[in-house]
Amino acid sequence: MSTLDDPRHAELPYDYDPSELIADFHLACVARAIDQRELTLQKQNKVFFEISGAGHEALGLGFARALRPGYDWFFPYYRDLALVLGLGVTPEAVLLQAVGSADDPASGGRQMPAHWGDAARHIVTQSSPTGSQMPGAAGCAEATSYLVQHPDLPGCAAHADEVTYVSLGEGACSEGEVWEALSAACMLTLPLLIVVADNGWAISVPSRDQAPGSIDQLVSGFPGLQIYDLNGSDYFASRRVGERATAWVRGGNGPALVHARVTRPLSHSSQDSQAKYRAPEELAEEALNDPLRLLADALVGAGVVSIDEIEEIRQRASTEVAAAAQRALAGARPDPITVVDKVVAFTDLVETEPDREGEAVSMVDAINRTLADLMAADARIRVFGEDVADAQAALLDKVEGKGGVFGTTRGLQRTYGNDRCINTPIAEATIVGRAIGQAVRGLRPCPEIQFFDYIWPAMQQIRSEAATIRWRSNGAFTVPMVLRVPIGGYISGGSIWHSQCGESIFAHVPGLLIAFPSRAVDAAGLLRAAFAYEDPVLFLEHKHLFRQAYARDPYPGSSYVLPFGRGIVRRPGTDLTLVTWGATVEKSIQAAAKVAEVDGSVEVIDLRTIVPWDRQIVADSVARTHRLLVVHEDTMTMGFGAEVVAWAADELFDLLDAPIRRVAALDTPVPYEPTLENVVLPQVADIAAAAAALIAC
Amino acid sequence: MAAAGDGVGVRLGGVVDRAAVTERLATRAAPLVRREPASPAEPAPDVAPPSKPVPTSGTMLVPQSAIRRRTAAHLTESLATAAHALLVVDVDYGAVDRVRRDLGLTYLPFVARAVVEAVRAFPKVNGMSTTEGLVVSRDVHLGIAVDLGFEGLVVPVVHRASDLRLRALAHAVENLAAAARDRRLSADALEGGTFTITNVGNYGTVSAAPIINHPQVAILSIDGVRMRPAAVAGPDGDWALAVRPVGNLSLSFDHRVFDGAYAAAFLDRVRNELEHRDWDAER
Repeated sequence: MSTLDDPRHAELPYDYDPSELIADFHLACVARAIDQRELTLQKQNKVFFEISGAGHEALGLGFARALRPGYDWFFPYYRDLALVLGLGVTPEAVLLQAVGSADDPASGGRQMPAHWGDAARHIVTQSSPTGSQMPGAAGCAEATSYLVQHPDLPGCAAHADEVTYVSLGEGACSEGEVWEALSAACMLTLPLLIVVADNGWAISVPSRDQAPGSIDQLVSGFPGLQIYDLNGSDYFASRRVGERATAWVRGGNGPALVHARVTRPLSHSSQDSQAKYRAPEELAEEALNDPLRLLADALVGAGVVSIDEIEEIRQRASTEVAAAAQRALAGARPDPITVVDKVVAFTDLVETEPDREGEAVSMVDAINRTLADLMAADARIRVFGEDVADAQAALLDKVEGKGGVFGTTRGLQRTYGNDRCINTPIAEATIVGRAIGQAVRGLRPCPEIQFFDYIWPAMQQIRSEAATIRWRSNGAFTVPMVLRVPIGGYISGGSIWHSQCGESIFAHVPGLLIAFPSRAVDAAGLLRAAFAYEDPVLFLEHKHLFRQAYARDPYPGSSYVLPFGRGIVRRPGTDLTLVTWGATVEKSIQAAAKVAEVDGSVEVIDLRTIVPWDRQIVADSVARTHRLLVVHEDTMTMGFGAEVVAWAADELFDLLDAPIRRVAALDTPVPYEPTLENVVLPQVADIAAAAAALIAC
Repeated sequence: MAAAGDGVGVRLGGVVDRAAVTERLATRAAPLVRREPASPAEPAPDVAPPSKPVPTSGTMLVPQSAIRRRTAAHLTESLATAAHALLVVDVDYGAVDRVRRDLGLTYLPFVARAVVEAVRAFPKVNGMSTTEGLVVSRDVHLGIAVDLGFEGLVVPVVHRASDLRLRALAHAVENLAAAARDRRLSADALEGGTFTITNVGNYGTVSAAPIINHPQVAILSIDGVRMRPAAVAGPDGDWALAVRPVGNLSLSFDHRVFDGAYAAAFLDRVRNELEHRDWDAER
């Protein structure tokens, strides 16, 4: 632990180049002027939100001196205005975001002010949830050593001594994701520099109501973590600690955490008024410790500049920011037609011919072999998750190896190495976050969540981080990852937390693609397609289908691609269109055979992917049958069938001769005891009855 | 790569594209579809209702997009509301052609310019029919019907066309048409029209019966211009046969609002402008 002295003394505490000191004081004034200018523009309705970096200027500028834009990687948070200015982002760029211009380089007018993003400087696009940047930052830092050991991967580059910088407020340290990621960073000795800017307030909640102690106290037991305590209002101390902490991380010693005590002279944001909950005495005390004031005093005291020169610098900063604001206001306004651009970059792939003579494989083997083929061809692919590896490296010769609780990843570690197939802690948010950070670096991560039932801790990483990254950065950043998740029931004894479906919850999230294959050949082709897309893919593997004889197919070969968005007719029919996917495909085929016994002809369509889903095949079929039934295993209310049905009611209304019906799970969790499970999940008899009734009506 | 705007969103669910924005903005710009007036219950028809279309071998069902359905509803409403009447005149484009070729323009901006001039004398054609009466506009906000590659129709508006000279008008029309085809029209560009011109003449049509862009009260169609034999008066008062560029203009107007004489006088004025205006002065 390192504590530095009070800065107010007659001599400069360290021997820094005076021109750097003057430049940083000027930038600090620029940062403060930007805050003030944005607040003014907001009153004029030219800026629509404001969140300041005031009080954090010395900290940001001190650290910016030790860090290297375009070399190191940055996951800053919203109070890092001075840091990003120190890294070379211009005031005009900052203000273009504030005014919501199409020319805003960070987001094209899509994100609030202070949501940094600059691909050239490696400033990774920022979201608003607190602390959710930590798992991604850990993933970015994790990529460093892999990329150094695997040079020349396409689209990837790294430096052995690069640092991943991540910052957050002390309030964000209450988030579980922060602790998960911190644990991973220490365990993996990641080159991660964590700066916690502690201004004492999480909006209106003081830090004593957030945590039992300051963050440096809380993390003091973390093995492998270098901890610094810093008066972040002190520019000189910030520079010194910035140098030390950065050098520590750069040297390959593992992560460092800096607890930086700073002030918050302005309210949390423009929507907040801190006079409502902070004592005037406290604000007055803070004003005495304002970083701009302390730095000005130190520079004048040491004779670097005169008081008049200080005032001249302030004025100059203010004038420059005013001019930058004028330029920003003259920037292009966003064209509404573009707002749907860059949600996903859905590529229309070409379907290739499967090898129909290959060895018959189960769905689990098809997935395993496809992963192996893909990993052989592309070293950017890394598989990781709980239990996915075979065994500890030293034991590989002595044991068979685990390779996943279902065996989908068996042998991948043995074949491709310990750094290609990796066990992770039981920390789903960080499994996905590590994938996000690695994908940002150009890798093609393939994380696994062991059971769909346990995906929820990762929801924020999937929904707020991965799925939004392309859109929120206006295409500057992408997360091509394939998140594999076993899903579903019909497994007798799976019970509530090993049997759930829930694809509709993810289909509701713009920015995700979702596959839900029902056969071995489709699983292989869709998995290969998933790695060809440039966006996050949720790849749902139905546990019940893993080893079913009816789901077996000849292995389609190492180049078979089945593009997303292509449903298939599993059984032709003339009286009713039955749309389904996953485990209910086979049940629907069986139901169709039963309906044939009473002279009804059911056409069974397997959608195969949920996002995107093949509307055309449904429309074409309904145009012939004039009746529609949607069947799924997920619960009825707000299941994905509701979307299919709503679309059909709108677009196919003129074609329909009967009501549209659904067969789905009862709105109940999946129970353990088999007869209970049987009644909750849709069975062949339910589907056959609904189909026959619809045909008869 | 399926960039926005190439229609994947129609075929596939869950992938949004620019058509969604175009549709939303067009919806906002369009008037609300009027509910059909309640009519007394009709006796059940003797014949069975028409059956659902059953595509047979060799046919294909083309589902109607929402924007198509809205266009259909708007046109049907217009036909059901306005008392459509049609007038056709032929125009000698000889005076226009001399200037037109030099400037590399189509006939459309000349006709637009002539319409703007003619409206000064016949202001009632430039307005909106409302339940309170005819709202006549001082400025001409000229709607130009633009075909979207046979996929649909939009009518962007040259606002204050009455303030524009020939070349500025041509420029404005060209810009709007390009924006329409690129599907980047703003909502504003679709609003506020007071008179509409539609141009199918490049397909060589002889006459059209355009549907009024309700609640406007008139729409002018430019039909094909071709060299035709025409009787022209010689200097000595004798008639001679000459070959002249001649094309028709077809005007549909709402007979509820004014009568045929007024509409015909307006159309005659448009023809006069086209044949006798000093187009050289507008170069």
